[in-house]
This record gives sequence, structure tokens and C-alpha cells, in this order.
Amino acid sequence: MIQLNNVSFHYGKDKEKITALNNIDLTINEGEFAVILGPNGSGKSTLARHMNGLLIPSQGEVVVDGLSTRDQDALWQVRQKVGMVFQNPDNQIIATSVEEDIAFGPENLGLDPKEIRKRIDETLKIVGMENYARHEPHMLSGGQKQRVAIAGALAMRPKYLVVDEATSMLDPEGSSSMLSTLKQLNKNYGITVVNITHISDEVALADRVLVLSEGRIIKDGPPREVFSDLDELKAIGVGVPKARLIAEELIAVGLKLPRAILTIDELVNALC
Amino acid sequence: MLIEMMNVSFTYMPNTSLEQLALQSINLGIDEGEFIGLIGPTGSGKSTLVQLLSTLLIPTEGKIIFEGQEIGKDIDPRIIRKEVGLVFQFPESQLFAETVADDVAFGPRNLGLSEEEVDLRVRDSLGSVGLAYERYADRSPFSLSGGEKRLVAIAGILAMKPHVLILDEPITGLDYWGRTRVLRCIDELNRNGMTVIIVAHDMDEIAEYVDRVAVLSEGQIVLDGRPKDVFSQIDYLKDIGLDVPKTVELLMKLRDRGFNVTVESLGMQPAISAILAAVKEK
Ligand SMILES: Nc1ncnc2c1ncn2[C@@H]1O[C@H](COP(=O)(O)OP(=O)(O)OP(=O)(O)O)[C@@H](O)[C@H]1O
Ligand SMILES: Nc1ncnc2c1ncn2[C@@H]1O[C@H](COP(=O)(O)OP(=O)(O)OP(=O)(O)O)[C@@H](O)[C@H]1O
Ligand SMILES: [Mg+2]
Ligand SMILES: [Mg+2]
Repeated sequence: MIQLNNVSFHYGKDKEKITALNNIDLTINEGEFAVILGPNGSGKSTLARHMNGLLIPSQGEVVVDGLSTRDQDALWQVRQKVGMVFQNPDNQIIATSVEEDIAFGPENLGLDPKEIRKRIDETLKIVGMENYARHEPHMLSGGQKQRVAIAGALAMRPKYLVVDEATSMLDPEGSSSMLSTLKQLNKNYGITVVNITHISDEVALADRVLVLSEGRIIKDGPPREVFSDLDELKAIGVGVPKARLIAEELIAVGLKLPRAILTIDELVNALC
Repeated sequence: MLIEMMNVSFTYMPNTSLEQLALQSINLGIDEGEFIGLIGPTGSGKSTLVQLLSTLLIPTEGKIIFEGQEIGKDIDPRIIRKEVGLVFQFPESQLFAETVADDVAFGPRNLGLSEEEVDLRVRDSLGSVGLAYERYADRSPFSLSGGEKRLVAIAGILAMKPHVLILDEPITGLDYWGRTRVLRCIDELNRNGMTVIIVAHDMDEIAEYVDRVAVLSEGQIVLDGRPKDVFSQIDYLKDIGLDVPKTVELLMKLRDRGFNVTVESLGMQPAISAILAAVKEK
């Protein structure tokens, strides 16, 4: 379990001080599939970086399976448990070939070369990049880089996986297959997933939705509950799943439809 | 015709073991004032194509004609770079100055405008993307959130008031207001005559704005036409990994379930009317 106890975080100081997180109390439970939504600058990436100890709270404490990220000696263990895929894959690429890039983490774990090879092949296959093993990561398209970054995180077999807008550059088929891969990993291997996104349609897969605004969690609950009051979400800049928007328009012109619709298939069923 | 790509191919690192053919025999004409959506699966060549249009890359084969002059032969690519503004897919590759204001000012300054005019444009374009000048002008672009960086990168190109505006996935990573603001802003610029090309994955967001959609797949243009014609190819698009707007998907699925709807309309209102009529009829 990842616990944030009364966490605040400020960038800069004095006149330049920016409060990115403001008294966050949050527990991510084992086996959860959570989505974090929130407008630009609301603190999502800052929150993500706290979960694996890349940032240490200005106040409060982050505890992963009993290990505080303040404890220097525990940090290595925390990072092993909590995998992270960043918003910009360029920040993550280190090696000069895709396979070396993926091998980097497992090598640091001291795994034997056979096992590393296995993980490279396995994860490249999962993300559909098996033909690019020897390519130079910097010379890939935007979406291809994101796939490699995800493979790199998966190769570490983390217990928790935090993905920060890491499917944003994929094509529709790529992002939906990546999301179902995450869902599979979550269901079959119990990997806890925290998916940060601006695409509200992605909440349909989640057990839990958290909405951040100005460094605070303003909503926390199952997707249908969080999307019961659309006005408040829209006001802060969180979009509404497209199927739900269409449903609301249909309700406005007199059709009787449930207010819990999140996907086109649900809408089709409700209309039939 | 404003820009014409004639038989353009592009290969990365030709004659090496890493040689990669990214675009193959592209023929594409762009008229003054068009608003074009460029879509295609991951790795299909979209970013390569827009970098060719802005002369950051030079074709390995074929030629690009700008206002009747061949780029690199009749006209210096540096001149084109002042006419064609490109917002990169990853804003980090575009930002470099110490403050947001300086970053946005770079383009207009380079055009040789007066400091007064530069300042005006900086304020104006930061405003258009929704970044309050007082709050952001003195910040370092590198200490911004992902979406804020993208907005600064967009503002920097807007401030150049280019003849042709090209945006590579500009709304990715923006929140609802950011997306709405940016799309409305470029729509207005287009109405006032600017030629706009937008690379995007999310069909819903762009379908209502663009008047033409070109589809790339494996380095070739496979569809090119009015949005409603292109998006009627639902099976083909899904096949190559793309999607259609959700309104179209809904209408298609309803039709498959026996509703009498035509799948002509892309926008929200026509779709609503069509569904309402079909439901009443049933
Ligand atoms: N390195 C930094 N230095 C100073 N301020 C920062 C830094 N990184 C982020 N900030 C600020 O902290 C706040 C939260 O940023 P954060 O990156 O967590 O937002 P976000 O929710 O991830 O936004 P986005 O959706 O745009 O990625 C913003 O106001 C941002 O400008
Ligand atoms: N700098 C580079 N060096 C070598 N090959 C490259 C380079 N950039 C892209 N490629 C390759 O060229 C092809 C086209 O890439 P491009 O970036 O144009 O695709 P894209 O359509 O923009 O994809 P995405 O949607 O993922 O951004 C891909 O196969 C990619 O691997
Ligand atoms: Mg972020
Ligand atoms: Mg691209």
C-alpha cells in the first residue's frame, strides 16, 4: 500500500514558492486500478513523483509498504516496488539501443543475463515493439518512444506502476491495447496501477478515480460516482467521457437514459 | 496552390544499417486557407511530414514547392521557416529560454519586429492559450508542468503569426479548457485566413474543425478528403489502428442494431437529431 500522510510540497522558495500539493491524505491499496484526473498544473506529476520517492514531501510523509521515502536507506527498495513511466519519454531514455534501455533496470537489480534477455523479449512483445530491439531510442516516433518507456517499466516487474500520461501519444488502437494490457497486468498479476491522464474516457476501466485541483484531492470514488456531477468537473477543466456527453444531450431533448453511462457500448445498450 | 509536395520520399540515415524509410512518394497539395487534419497510426510518418513542410528536414527524393518556388532551389529554406510555424510534438524540444516571456518573444524578435510589437504579441499569445502573463512571464519554461510547457510552445509559434501554422499533436496533455481554448484560437486564425495543419490522434476533438483529413499509413497517404467521407471508412480506419469520432461510432453501432440512421453527420447536434428521429421511429 502507498500512503500519503498529510503531504504538502512546494517548489522554489520565498517569492517564487509554488505549492503543488496541499495536505494530501491518500492511500493507494494493493491491487487497485486508479485513475488520476485534474487540470494542467493541478499537481498530478508532482504527486506521482512522490509515490516512488523522486520527490520528498516538504511536509508529511509517503510510506510504501511500511517504508518511508524519507529514509535514504529504503529509497532503493521503494523505487523497485514503484515503477514509473513519465509524461515525456525522452526523460527516461538512457541507452543507445532499445534493448539496452530496457535492460538497464533489470541489470541494476543484478538479475542474470538469461532472465534479462527473457524480460526484454517479453516486454517488447507486450508493447508491440519486438522489431525495434536494436533501434536507437532517440530515433523513434513519439508513440514508439512511449511504448519503449512502458516496456522499460514493466521489465522491472514492479508491484505498483504509476503511468503519467504515458499513453498520450499512442494511436487509438495502441492506447486502448496498452490500457487493456495494464488492466490485464492488474487483474492477472495483481499489479497496482495508477494511471494519470487527461482523457476522461479512460476512467471506464478503473476501480477508482481521483480528481486533483490546485494540489488537493477534490474527488475520490468509483468512476460513476465521480462523474455524477459533471458541472463541477467541467468547471475545473476535467472533460467528460464523450459517450456521457452524448447521453446528456439525448436526455436534454427528452430521452430517458441512466446517468451512469461512460462508454459508447453502454449508451448503445441503453438505447436498444 | 500554396504548398505542393511532389513525389516526396524521406529516409532517415540512408545508406546505414539503421536506414529507415519514413515517407514514400507523397503527393500532397495544400491550398491557401485550408484547415487540414493529419492523422495516422504510431510511426506512420506524420511528424516527418510536418518537419519536411517546415524545412527542418529535406526530402531525400522529390521536391516541395512553396508559392510556385521549389524549396532549396528557388527559395532559401530560412525564408520558409519564417512563413511556416511548427509546434513540435514534444514541447521540451522547442523551449530553451530562461523565462517564458523570452521564449515566446524569440520568434517575433527573429522576424525583426520592434520591441513594442514583440511585447504586445507575447502578451497576446500567452493570453490566447490561457496563461496569465503576470503569473507565467518570469517563470522558467523548464519548471512548468507538462501541459503548461505545451501551452508556452504553442504561444511561441502563435506569436510569429505565421502564414502557415502546423501543430504536431498540440492538444495532447492539455486539460479540457486548454484543448477548447487552443482549438478555438486556431479555428479563429484559420477563419481569418491562416492555413492550418494539425496532427492529432483524437478524432473527436478535431473532426468538427477541420475541412479536410489526410490519413498516413506506413509512410503513404492512404485517404484524403472531407472529414465525413474519410470517417465513413470506419472499418478501414480501425484496421490501420485509427478511430472515428464517437458520434460516428455510435451511429454505426445503432445502425448495426437495426436503427434507421445515416452516418453522414460528424457534429454533436446532427448526431443527436438523427438518433432522436431513429429512436422515435422504432
Ligand atoms: N520543477 C518545477 N519547478 C517549479 N514549479 C514546478 C515544477 N514542476 C511543476 N511546477 C509547478 O507545480 C504545479 C504542479 O505541477 P505538476 O507538474 O505536478 O502538474 P500536473 O497536474 O502534472 O500538470 P499537467 O497536466 O500539465 O502535466 C504547477 O503549477 C507547476 O507550474
Ligand atoms: N530521428 C529519426 N531517426 C531515424 N528514424 C526515425 C527518426 N524519427 C522517426 N523515425 C522513424 O520514421 C518513421 C516515422 O516516424 P514519425 O515520427 O514521422 O511517425 P509519426 O507518425 O509522427 O508517429 P507518432 O504518432 O508515434 O508520433 C518511424 O518508423 C520512426 O521509427
Ligand atoms: Mg503532469
Ligand atoms: Mg509524431
